[in-house]
Amino acid sequence: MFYRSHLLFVVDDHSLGKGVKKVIKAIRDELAKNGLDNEVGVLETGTLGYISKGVHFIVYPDNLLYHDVTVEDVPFIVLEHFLKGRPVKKLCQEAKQEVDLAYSQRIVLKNSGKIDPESIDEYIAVDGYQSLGKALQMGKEAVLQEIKTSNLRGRGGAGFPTGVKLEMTAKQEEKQKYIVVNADEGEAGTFKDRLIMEGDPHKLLEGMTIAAFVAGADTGYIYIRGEYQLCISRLEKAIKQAKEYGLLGKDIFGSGFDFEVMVKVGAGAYICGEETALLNSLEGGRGNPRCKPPYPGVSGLWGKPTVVNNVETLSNLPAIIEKGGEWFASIGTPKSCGTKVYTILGDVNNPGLIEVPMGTTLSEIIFKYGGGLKEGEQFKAALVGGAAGMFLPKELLQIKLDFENLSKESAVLGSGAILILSERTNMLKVLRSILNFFLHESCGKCSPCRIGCKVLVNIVDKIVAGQADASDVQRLLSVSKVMQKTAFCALGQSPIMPIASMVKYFGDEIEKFIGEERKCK
Amino acid sequence: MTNFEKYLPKPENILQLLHLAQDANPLQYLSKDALMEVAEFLKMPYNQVYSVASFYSMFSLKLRGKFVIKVCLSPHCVVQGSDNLFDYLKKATKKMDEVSLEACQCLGVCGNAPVVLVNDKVYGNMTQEKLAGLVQNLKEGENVL
Repeated sequence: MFYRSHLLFVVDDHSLGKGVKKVIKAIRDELAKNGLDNEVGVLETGTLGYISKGVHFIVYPDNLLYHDVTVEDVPFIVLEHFLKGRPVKKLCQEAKQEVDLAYSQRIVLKNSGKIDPESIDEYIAVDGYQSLGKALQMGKEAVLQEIKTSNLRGRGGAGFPTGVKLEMTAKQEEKQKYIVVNADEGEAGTFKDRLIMEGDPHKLLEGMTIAAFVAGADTGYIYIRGEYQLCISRLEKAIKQAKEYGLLGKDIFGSGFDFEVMVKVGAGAYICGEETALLNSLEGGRGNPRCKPPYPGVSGLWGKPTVVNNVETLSNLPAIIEKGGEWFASIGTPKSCGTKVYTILGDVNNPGLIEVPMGTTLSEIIFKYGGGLKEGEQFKAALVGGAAGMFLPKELLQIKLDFENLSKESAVLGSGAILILSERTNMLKVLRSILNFFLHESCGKCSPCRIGCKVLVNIVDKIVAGQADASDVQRLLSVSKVMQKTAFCALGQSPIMPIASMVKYFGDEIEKFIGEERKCK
Repeated sequence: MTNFEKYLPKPENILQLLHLAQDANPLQYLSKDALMEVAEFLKMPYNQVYSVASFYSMFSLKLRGKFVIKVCLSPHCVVQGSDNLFDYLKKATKKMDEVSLEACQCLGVCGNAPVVLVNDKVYGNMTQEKLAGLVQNLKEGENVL
């Protein structure tokens, strides 16, 4: 059917919370009432990147973005805009795709907000699954070479080269190999993987199949957090559709390559984001981390070679195969290639999800894409990398966000969560919530982490209560340092990041809580 | 007997089975009987099932109320004042047997911070006034705002 206009509603967990389904129903009813249902199409898509615009939708071909729409606004919008052709100015703005959404630079989120994530046909219409076909024709070696040329590095935090990881597993002589997608996103303030999966689930499946082909795996698992209901249902639907089309299952594209995918649901444990803990959880045990080496690439799930990758990493693969590794390597900086998806939160005007090339400066992200700080607020710090990240002060605003430049400041890119804190923020409160988070999520396997987290929380509580002296601040540092050196996995090694940067850059804030007379003692 | 048949009796399915068993219980927890059922289905020792169930925070081994309220206490929500909301709820729901209050970590809906979860329903941009209304509705047995 031909429509003169299309409304693309963003349906993700943020807008669902604001009642997007009710608004969609109301607008459909209202259009039908005015006899416009044959002229104006209403579609549901994934995220555009905005998370604080309430219920929002884009009108094509007008390219207008309506935001914060409620059921009460619907009759007026339909009457004015679609019957009389006068856009309701107070509810809409022009969709400035170039700046706000940075669509031109998108790789992973290219289709999100444009296609219906629940329809495989729409994904195929935007060249979906073409790369898979191309990869199967190219053969394992050529695909691996292309991925190595692209210099793609893991987007889950550690930044390990993806090509090297795939090669390690591909070399193993075991017959049974697995591929596991780490979608157990629990880092505080991170929801990029959730929105990638909600916005374009087929892209993940395609990337995953390409990786499995290279590594020689015939079974794949997607381990998703139990709280991500919408992701789970959209992915399960996507898998079903792909199977019906023969894009998953036996003998894909007649190449003789078989691949099955299953969705596994977690049950609320941050530690399961650690790859070996995730494998234990997949096998049906407690999510305790394993000793490394052997690395999962050699001995992983049920002792078989297993590739464990992040959602965003795998979603990059289709574009690399389509346009070539050199094209990908030309984006970003020489050692950190491609784009990175960030979640910007806190006291900025446009909190949300952006995808920009590696090496974009922090100030550009805050002021250009994040829309600057809220009126009357001043920048104080940015917590980059989630709870296991680092506080960056004003002096480091010009820092380029990529693996190398951040590690120079002993910071990490982590999951790509950027929390912007304004002058008003009580930094100790933030630090306490971070340490409480680690305490809650520590799996209890090793003593440094199990006991250390509790000790750290106790010290910060003491500081907040005004009962601490300067030696307590030193103890905070030394305990976290010991944890960094002795803890079994990355969770226990992480608390030093926020603590050390807090003491280094915001030591005066802590000192405010330490009484003068106590300092003398 | 909970409907376990859609899963194969393999250890790898234990989390799904536990989810099923917990969802089937109106009191939203895993009773000893439920754990036994899972253990029998998987032919796994009871203590092993218990050990897995006790590890994950989405499972409760204690009796819970009809409504389980979770308040996100991650950095971003705390900056927006969720710790105060938690203290408020603690007082407001003290005498309500049908409500269990829990703290939780990031739910990934940070755009709507501070976030409160009641059973499976996410409520964003919460304030004390809104919570008061929600608690009133819960008293009347309705999970709406």
